[in-house]
Amino acid sequence: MIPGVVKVLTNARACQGCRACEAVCSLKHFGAVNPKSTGVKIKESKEPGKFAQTVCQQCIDMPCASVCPVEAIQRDGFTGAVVILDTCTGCGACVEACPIQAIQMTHVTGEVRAFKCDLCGGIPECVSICPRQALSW
Amino acid sequence: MKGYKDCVLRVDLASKNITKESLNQDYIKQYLGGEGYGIALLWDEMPHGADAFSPENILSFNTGPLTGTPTPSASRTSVVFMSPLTHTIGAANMGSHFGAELKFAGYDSIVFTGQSNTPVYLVIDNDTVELRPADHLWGLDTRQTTEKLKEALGESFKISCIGQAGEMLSKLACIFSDDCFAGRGGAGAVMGHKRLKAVAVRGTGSVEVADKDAFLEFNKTAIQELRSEVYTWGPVHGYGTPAWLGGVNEYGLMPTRNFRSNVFEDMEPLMPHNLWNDTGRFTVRRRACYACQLGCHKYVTMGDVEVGELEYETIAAFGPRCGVSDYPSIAMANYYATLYGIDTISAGATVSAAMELFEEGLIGLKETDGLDLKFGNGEAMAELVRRMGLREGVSGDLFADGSWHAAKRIGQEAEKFAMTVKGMEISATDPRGSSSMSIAFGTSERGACHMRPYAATIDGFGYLFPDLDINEPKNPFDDNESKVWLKAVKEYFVVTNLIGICDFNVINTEMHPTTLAALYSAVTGIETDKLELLRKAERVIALERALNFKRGFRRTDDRLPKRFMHEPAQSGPPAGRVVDMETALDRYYEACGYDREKAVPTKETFEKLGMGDVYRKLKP
Repeated sequence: MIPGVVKVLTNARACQGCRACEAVCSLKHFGAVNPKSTGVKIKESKEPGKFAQTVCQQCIDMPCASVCPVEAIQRDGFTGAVVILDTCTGCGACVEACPIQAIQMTHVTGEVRAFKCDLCGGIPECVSICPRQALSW
Repeated sequence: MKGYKDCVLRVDLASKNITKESLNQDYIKQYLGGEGYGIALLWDEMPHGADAFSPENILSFNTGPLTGTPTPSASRTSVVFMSPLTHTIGAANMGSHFGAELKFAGYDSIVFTGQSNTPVYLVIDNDTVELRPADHLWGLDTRQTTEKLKEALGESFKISCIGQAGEMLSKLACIFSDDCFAGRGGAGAVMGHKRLKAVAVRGTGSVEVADKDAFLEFNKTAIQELRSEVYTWGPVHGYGTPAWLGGVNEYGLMPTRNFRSNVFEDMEPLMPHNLWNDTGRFTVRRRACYACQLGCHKYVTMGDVEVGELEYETIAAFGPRCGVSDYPSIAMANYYATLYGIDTISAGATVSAAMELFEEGLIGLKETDGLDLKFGNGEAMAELVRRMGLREGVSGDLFADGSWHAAKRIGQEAEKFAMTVKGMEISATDPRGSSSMSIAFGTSERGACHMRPYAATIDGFGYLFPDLDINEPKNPFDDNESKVWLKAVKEYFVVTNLIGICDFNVINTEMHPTTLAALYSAVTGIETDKLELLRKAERVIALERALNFKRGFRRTDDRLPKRFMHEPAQSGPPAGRVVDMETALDRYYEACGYDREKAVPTKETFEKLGMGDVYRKLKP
């Protein structure tokens, strides 16, 4: 896959703020729903009914990967997603480097790790569950 | 046992003592959770005759095992209490993101006992829980309270609170959470009586799922069932609940001018497209509850006025029921009800009763503080709602506790015009057009409520529901028809309250009981089929009836107001029809295995449900 072609796209005006995407992302990756461990984040603005979506855009230049001290962030050859490998030490450098705050530190599994959207290995669950097509790919 | 957090937070408001305990496993086994958990607490821990406005009343916020998961609309919190409006059990159910946040913080339920001397609010930040003084919040409306708390605690906190109506013990007061409401039965007044202004919660923990792969698969089935129901995924997904306005009116089910009629002749201006398309005056935005596919929740603003959520029931109550057909008046009434925290259904119904009392000459300008309360006067309607919310003046105080309590104060023949069952105002369906709704309103354990169950879908609109063995169309005009099917539908609606999802997943027969049972099994790891889910709901209903029985409720209390038995429907398909209440009740009690006079399950029914101990306690 050509880098950065497939990514989760957002349509802010269609979003209804239900956070089903957050819930299913967390469940898919961790076996539990945790609001702090999601690859996609929905935040309501001061104006009720307006929501901002944050999700990794699988950047071509991968600023997160370039700061990783253990080279644990790489591009998946099949999906084109930028993925974090199990060798992540949880230092948090990538979180700082991400220009859109799409990486979170999580400790659901007991270890502190960085976590971000990996496109669910090809078919993102958040896109399937979104009832408004506010997410697509 | 996943799904549940196995932790109940107990807050004694008198001693300010806060403790945590494990879930009572017997309750889970018998009643599943959610509303059932709260009812079981009332049965076991509260003196059965306790007054709603006494420190003995127990107020609990109960999530279900599915709350917080990605199951469609797994957002629900059931607030359970004894109702000051009806003196029956109170069970009000709200959406928003509060319930999920409570689960993330690590709790299934919060149980409030006793009464505080001074106003307080509860802050839950994961493991840290404390009561704080709320003197600075007392007297503020729901939006101000929410804003102040978010300023003080942080934007990420989810807030449930009451407005001035709850503080002033209005029996219509509700609990507000981001424009969702635990609306009916006066939950807000119980909170006000306990001097509990608000509950703020933030959680960063997890809700665990026993079998992730099975869950994800069955959840796709559930979503598919929702998205393939054309009415649900068409008009209701688009416009929200107001999508029902047109259809209900055409079927002759629309309460008009306090049920004088059942079809509103001036419905066109109230059709939802007129609200959405009037972009010069209104903006409408979607603002869904947690994990909801449907997204019926719409946030309306009118110029500078943050109107909030305009629901079918709200529009029907302030609109046709009061003979009003302009959106700005309805929007203002909803705005006041939201700010001060009163139930819009009962508020609209109470105004319509006041209008009829005014037109019949039982009250005059003295009682209305000069308001010309004629049917159709939208401005007067909105103004009365404002006064009711603040208990302002003679009229505000008279009607703040609903039409039944007002009628008792007015005396003479006023009770004839209170369209209530057990003191709760009938919601926006005319029972003359649907036999099942006559029974649903009459026998609802919390008073005439629109969700126990909403069965006009089946007999009124002609839906079938093979997964509940409803394979033939039912006759909406035959009170003598077997109501075995209605028992199943009611139990299924109650299941949603136990499990933590919204009734709108099942109202148009969308999500199948088999699918829901599979989701429950996958989340909790407790193998359960649909019949077991329904049986748990049957037990909860039986326990609710037992508690009502102990408080003196009998068959006579399950009847509709006399108007429906004596004044025929005016037009539409049910034209000329009256309700044969006694026959309808007989058919329903038969179907449920209830004693015909006592209106509680018989000894055999209790024993079949494994509730012999409850039956033994029924005797004085």
